[in-house]
Amino acid sequence: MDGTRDHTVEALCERWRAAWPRAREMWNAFIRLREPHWCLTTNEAVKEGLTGSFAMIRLTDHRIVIDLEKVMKYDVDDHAVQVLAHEIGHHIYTPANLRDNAVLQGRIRWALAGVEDQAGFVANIYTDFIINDFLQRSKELDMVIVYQKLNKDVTFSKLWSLVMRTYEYLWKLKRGTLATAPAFHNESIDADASLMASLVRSYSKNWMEGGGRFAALLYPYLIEEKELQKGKQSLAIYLDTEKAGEGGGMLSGLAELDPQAEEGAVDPRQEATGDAATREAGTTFERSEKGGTGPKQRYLNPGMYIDLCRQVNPHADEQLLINQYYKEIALPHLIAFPVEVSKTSGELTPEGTDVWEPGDPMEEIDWLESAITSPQIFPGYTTRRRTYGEDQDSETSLRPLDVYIGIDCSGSMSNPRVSFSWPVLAATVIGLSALRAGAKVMGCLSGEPGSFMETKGFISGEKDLLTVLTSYLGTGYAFGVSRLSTPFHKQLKKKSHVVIVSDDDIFSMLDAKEADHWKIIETSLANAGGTGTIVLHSRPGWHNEGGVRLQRMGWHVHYVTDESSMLDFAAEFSKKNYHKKK
Amino acid sequence: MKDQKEIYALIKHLRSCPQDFLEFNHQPGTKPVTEALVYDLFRKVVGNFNVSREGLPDVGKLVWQLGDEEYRAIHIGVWFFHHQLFEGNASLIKGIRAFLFERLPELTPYVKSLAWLEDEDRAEEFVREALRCCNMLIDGETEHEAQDRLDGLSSVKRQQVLEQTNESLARMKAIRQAMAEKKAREAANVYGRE
Amino acid sequence: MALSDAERFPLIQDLSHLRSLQQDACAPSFNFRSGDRLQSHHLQQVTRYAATIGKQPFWNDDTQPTWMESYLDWCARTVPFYKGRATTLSAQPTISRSDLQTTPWQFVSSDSNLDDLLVYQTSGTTGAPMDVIFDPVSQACWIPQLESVLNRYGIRLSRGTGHTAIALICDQQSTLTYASLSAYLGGAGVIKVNLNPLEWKDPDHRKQYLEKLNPEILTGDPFAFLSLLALAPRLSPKALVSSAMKLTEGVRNKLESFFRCPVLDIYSLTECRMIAVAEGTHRHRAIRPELFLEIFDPVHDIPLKPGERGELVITGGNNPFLPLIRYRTGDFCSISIDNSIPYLIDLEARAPVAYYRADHTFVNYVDISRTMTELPLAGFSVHQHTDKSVTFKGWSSDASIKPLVHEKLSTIFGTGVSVDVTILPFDSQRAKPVTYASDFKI
Repeated sequence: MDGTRDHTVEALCERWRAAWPRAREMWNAFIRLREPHWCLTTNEAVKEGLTGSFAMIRLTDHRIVIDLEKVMKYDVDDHAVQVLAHEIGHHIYTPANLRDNAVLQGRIRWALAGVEDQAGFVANIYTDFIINDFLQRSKELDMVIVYQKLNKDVTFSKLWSLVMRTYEYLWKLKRGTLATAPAFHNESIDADASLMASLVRSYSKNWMEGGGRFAALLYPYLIEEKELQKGKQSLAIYLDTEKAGEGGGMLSGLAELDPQAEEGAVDPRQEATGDAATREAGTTFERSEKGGTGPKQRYLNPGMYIDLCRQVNPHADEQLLINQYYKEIALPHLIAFPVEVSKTSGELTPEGTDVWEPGDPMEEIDWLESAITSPQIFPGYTTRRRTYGEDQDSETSLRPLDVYIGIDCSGSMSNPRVSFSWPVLAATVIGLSALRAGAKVMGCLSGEPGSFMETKGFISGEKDLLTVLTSYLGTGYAFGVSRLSTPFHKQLKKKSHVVIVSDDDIFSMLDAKEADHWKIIETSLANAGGTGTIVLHSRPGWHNEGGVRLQRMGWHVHYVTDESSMLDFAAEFSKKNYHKKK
Repeated sequence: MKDQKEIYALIKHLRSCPQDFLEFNHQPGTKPVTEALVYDLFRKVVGNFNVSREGLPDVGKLVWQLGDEEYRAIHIGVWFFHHQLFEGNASLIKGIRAFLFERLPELTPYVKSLAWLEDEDRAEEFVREALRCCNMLIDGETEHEAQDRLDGLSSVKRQQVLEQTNESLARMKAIRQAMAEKKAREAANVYGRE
Repeated sequence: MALSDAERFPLIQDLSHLRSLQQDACAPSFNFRSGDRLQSHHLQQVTRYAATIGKQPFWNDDTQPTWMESYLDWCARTVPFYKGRATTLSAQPTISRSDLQTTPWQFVSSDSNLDDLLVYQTSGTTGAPMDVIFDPVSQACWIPQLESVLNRYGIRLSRGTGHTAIALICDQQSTLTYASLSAYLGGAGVIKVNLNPLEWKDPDHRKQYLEKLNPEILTGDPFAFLSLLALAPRLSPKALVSSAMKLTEGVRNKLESFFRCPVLDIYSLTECRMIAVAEGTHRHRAIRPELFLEIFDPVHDIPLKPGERGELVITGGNNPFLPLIRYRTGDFCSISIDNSIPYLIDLEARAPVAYYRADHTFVNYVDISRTMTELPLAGFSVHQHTDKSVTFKGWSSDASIKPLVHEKLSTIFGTGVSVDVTILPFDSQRAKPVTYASDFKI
């Protein structure tokens, strides 16, 4: 040690800043990454969210945070390049970004039955291996010394021994160089460490593919609560990515099942022995659990989706997640975004002029008219634009009707947060298609007698609409027909379609004595002015009389015997009513 | 340089095994090229290219009994022992023969021949197994360390450990998965439960 | 994938009674769906169990049950935890809750079919949370066990659909609630409700709903029964069954005089369900001949002589996923065998701990357990003092949870109760208990 060295934390900060460019060069001198956030005290670091370790990354703002007080405490002052290069590796190599971070954790979760919540921890250990092995072997950085220093005060655990033995295998170190607790060594850990080392090497280039296997190897070390706690305690100082996704925005594409996750959740121990029988026994349940849900059984169930997203970002709002979930599944079934309508049959006829305001397209200025208005041009005051009227017979002049979507949310319906719900998906498809086409939507959940929940009239906000559609009541026995009176008690100025999703119980509601629901449902449709459809989860003929009575009033009764065909109805309905012809 | 037994250098040498050593077609019923290769190697180790076969250990019979995987592994072994470390050291002949025709066939069920070259740990295992048969140690290593390192890498040993634990591990996993699944779905009736 | 009702009730085709329980105008918003999951071969086993439970002999001071040897043999052959053990009872060491807690899968017999596996997660009222694994049969046998007790009072549960056989009454901040049916009872209703008014559309519905259903049997803990009593519902149950904690004489008298039916106090454990039923103030009569009872020294693995007081240890049961051999219950008593029937004498188990809010309404300690389960705590103790202030002591490796614990306790106890929280460092070497104490008496 240099006896004359300045031992203040400020001096340390300067030395680490000086090491930053060298650390970047380990990957690429030209990478664009802001200098780390240097915290001179642990207190300051805690405020930045850094607790267990002395370094961490945040994928949300592409930042590295370093706790210099802890750097001194753990005596790693001299290893700035190793530490910084390691953190940079997390940013630019693995997990690199919020999305890959989420996908990796999603894959890891498959192999962690019952301890899925440890996916972030496992991902951290895994990506550390990938990065450190690269730095040690390809860049010849001495990572061993960093581990030796950090291990000085460690409390030993089986998991820690496995990790350290794996590094010994990876770097051909003598037993005990890093795994310094001989009492924890055994043949089983050696076998696992040796498999883990080959896995880390084989998947160093495509690390995403190795996540499931890695987790499967680690799994037996995580399932006993006490061992897990000990393991986490002994590795706490190394955890620098567990919170990397915290505070990140909504990620798309996670609702769909990741087919690679299923294939990747294989235990390398069983691959090594090629024991087909044990492999069978081990995966019976994986398979049934992995059976997806929703259209073509391609999606995670909503609970697992929320767990996954929350794992990556604990602050994510559950309501927004569930909105996103149904939206993602609805997307392929929505009408295409309406393109600007071009005239086909109708002729445009000039109808006069209007003020052209700054912000209107330049080409719309009618210079002649403007000049006639005033010889001097003042944008927004003297500028004129020509307006056109449409040929009344033209099909395109039809504005899309609004739509009212009523869903039975009574005790017989399942909670769309717990299990995938076809009625909610159908409502989402219709609702979002209508919004795309420029129509407004009113959504109403009703489980009556009991409770209901509805949007404030016809709205065009996607979030508010989805929040209502994806909620859950579970009260009463059917859709409360009297809810229709809220928007349709009188003739609407702007016409609206009405869609109600319910089951047989709606007939009991119609016949209920409290109010004349038959009358309400009849006048509501008349006042709405658009088409009325009751999507009935039932068999044609079960309530023949009631069905015929509704049809006489003008309602379409659409029977579905299988809930999944509600989606077909929704897609068809959306296409018919909200798909503009070009 | 000749006597330096450095693990990385030996692994590097092993992994640079030329393609020619790996590609062989031997027609059924014809004598494989292996035999000639082995005798060439023996002569090099003895340090005398004029020795007749009679003056060297007999491998003729052994060669006929082997399968393709074993052949390929032996070819890799022959390449490995061409390293200058083994040159002109007649006392090693016995160990080399034992490695090629006894130890390697024992390992073949556990390790695919190409893995000796492609997988780094298997390459190290190969080198250490070969050295052990020749009673040689890596520079700076004690016998105990060498044995420990080899035990750690040993495919046979790992296989034994895994075979002992895999079945119970698989059952444990199946139960855990069933538990996780049931928890994730709905539990059964919880009569009398909180 | 959620279960469908067909999977929940494989043997019940007509679910209209279930719908009427769920969709009644006064029904609470049930937060769970539950079915008995019984298939016909399961139901046969339950029926067989019901036929033997009342008739099978128990044992005497100097004998062991006839099933013991083959049971121990089966365990030694097929249950990983007991693998290779001797088949004599005297050779068996005791096991404790922590064994079940750490590796529940080690207790699953290799004979058992995992398709039948069901899980119940305890909230850890007497220790850290634990997953208990069971199957539909051992689950459903709860009812024949109950019936065998009721039979002695000449009470029989009616079969058939249309009525409510059993209502589980709770009064907690939150708990699972459901309406369900029992195939064993021919489709009769079984409901679980929480008297917490927040779970109902109208607080008056609690009384109205229960009165409408008029269940044959009400079960619950003493706190829940006291809350029920406060509603003064017009019900005519055949019996009340109290469990989960000791029923004091005072509460029993109040309940009996109001409901005018027998009030039974059953001693049961999550790990094996019912064990014994109180007879008088000092003794509990054993219910199940397939559950062998012994008394052990609390510290050493030494069985005590007949009549000596010590820790109750059980062997047997009917759960293929959790076969017990000398399982320490943590409860204390002595055993006396009277006319070939074992009695637990002066059983000391889970005295009710009374916690109060500032307005002197009850706080159920189950709510505390449930809440603390979500936090990384190795164990904790809660003590309420006469001035209603609460002292909480917890063990955790994460000291930063202190404000969170404080916030959660304050929510449970409400305003006006001061809460003091201490978090001590977690020492993984020693198991930490969960203890509840209160200066108030129920």
